[in-house]
Amino acid sequence: MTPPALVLDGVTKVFDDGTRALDGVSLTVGRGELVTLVGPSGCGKTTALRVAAGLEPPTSGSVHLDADPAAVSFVFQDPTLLEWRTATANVALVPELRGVTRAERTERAHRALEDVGLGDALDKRPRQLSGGMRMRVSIARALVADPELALFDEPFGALDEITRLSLQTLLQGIFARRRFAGLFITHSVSEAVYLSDRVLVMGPGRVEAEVAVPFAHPRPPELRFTPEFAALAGDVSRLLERAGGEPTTASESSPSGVTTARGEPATASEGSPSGVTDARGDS
Amino acid sequence: MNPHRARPAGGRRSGLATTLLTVAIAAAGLFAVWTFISLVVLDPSKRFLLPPPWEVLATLGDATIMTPMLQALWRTATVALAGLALAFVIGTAWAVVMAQSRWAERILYPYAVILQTVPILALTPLIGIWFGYGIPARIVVAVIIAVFPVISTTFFGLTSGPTRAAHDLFTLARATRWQRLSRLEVPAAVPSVFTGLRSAAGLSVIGAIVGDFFFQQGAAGIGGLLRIYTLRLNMDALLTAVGLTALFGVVVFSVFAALEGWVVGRWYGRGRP
Repeated sequence: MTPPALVLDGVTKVFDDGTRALDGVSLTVGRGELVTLVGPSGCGKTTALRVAAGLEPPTSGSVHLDADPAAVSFVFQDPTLLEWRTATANVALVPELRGVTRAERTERAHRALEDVGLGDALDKRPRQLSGGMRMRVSIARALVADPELALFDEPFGALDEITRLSLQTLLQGIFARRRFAGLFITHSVSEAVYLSDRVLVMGPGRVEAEVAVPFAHPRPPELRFTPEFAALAGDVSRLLERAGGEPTTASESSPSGVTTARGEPATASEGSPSGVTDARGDS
Repeated sequence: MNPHRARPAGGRRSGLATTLLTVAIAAAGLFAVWTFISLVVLDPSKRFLLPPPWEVLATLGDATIMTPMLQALWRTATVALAGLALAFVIGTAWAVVMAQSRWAERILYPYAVILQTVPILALTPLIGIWFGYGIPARIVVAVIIAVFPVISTTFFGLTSGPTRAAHDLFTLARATRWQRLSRLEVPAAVPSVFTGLRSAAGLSVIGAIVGDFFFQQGAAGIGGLLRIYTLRLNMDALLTAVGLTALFGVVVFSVFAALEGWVVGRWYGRGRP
């Protein structure tokens, strides 16, 4: 087993108003491993991520980060772009704050934007981009610094289903190539299973269960329509229900479970339109 | 590119025509009421209180009245502009300092409010003693009247412009306080700053005229002339000066509103293909 990039050990977080957001959460994220945290709204997922990032101090317990703090990046729920900056200048922001020269940070930003399929929107401002494109810029900003650890706070939650699927495919492709350590929060079971190596199921304030995802990287988008995928997603959904939350988008985002349950893998490939994988399919 | 902004050209032109028609109707109505009051309501012995419109408009062609009036208006405009520039510098600096900490805010904000609420009349004796009774004192009045919107809108922009997530982004990147201010808070405040500047521009004109009125040493501004015309009961010239002043205020406000639209548009990448 690779040495972990991130360890949360018995982390408890009680806010000033007495809310007990986390109650003894322990988890590890290995190097080159993507771990997802699924759970119903309000179960403390975001707090866990903020504690891991160092944005909130834990009330008790400890956080060990085995990565250069400069190589930890965070993708927010909202793209959080600076409206007055072009896509390039937004992606170049973090290197800029660290004193990287203009020529170098611009070149790196261009490369990162090309990686997320925005090679022809380098000089666009956020308001000239669609929601999906803005999130791509946000992902490019997280990846421009070659992160050792990337933290994702439910970044695709507010996007429409088609855009969401295409961004999942994009992120999975990037992860397969670059293999950073990642902790990804979502309330979508199929998103969790498709993206991660391990799914941690959270109930109120704690990690209740863990499911290993055996699929090798890179994962083709059609993986979502296989019986194995559906079975695993079903396991996670059941664990989620037992953990005390309703699986909010599980049924809606894994209709493939129905198809494959009938034993018709042929319809599965029909049901995975190439438009979903097209980098510029979202608009 | 943006289908929401594509509007049929005809619709826009008819919009302009409607506006012009409305303005024309309003002007005609005003003139009708004015004439009616002047010729019908007022007894001929009191007609000098409100001369009919054509007599007032005739002063526009009288160089002996118009030359000093336009010169005075120009002087007032200069005072207003100087006041606005100072109010902008002082106001933004004030807001930036207040935005640095809760303590600075608690200490400085009450003074901004006091400046806004104390009647300028109560301050004029002090201003006269400290700054003399000429142009500098008029500029001070313009600054005092115009500075509050600059302070409040800039402060609002600096503190409410950036989202919590944007601050987190800067925290995670270990940004210095200066980087946070220069790359996040100030740019996020730009639209608010220009909103404040638009209000301040209108107020600086009012301030300059009030200043003219109280501080009459040196060359007269339009406020000074208003006072002189009033004392002489020169109603034609007084009404013309009032109209001219109102028009000037509208022009200043429109110029700064257009400036605001242009700057904010460029800021967010509109108005550029």
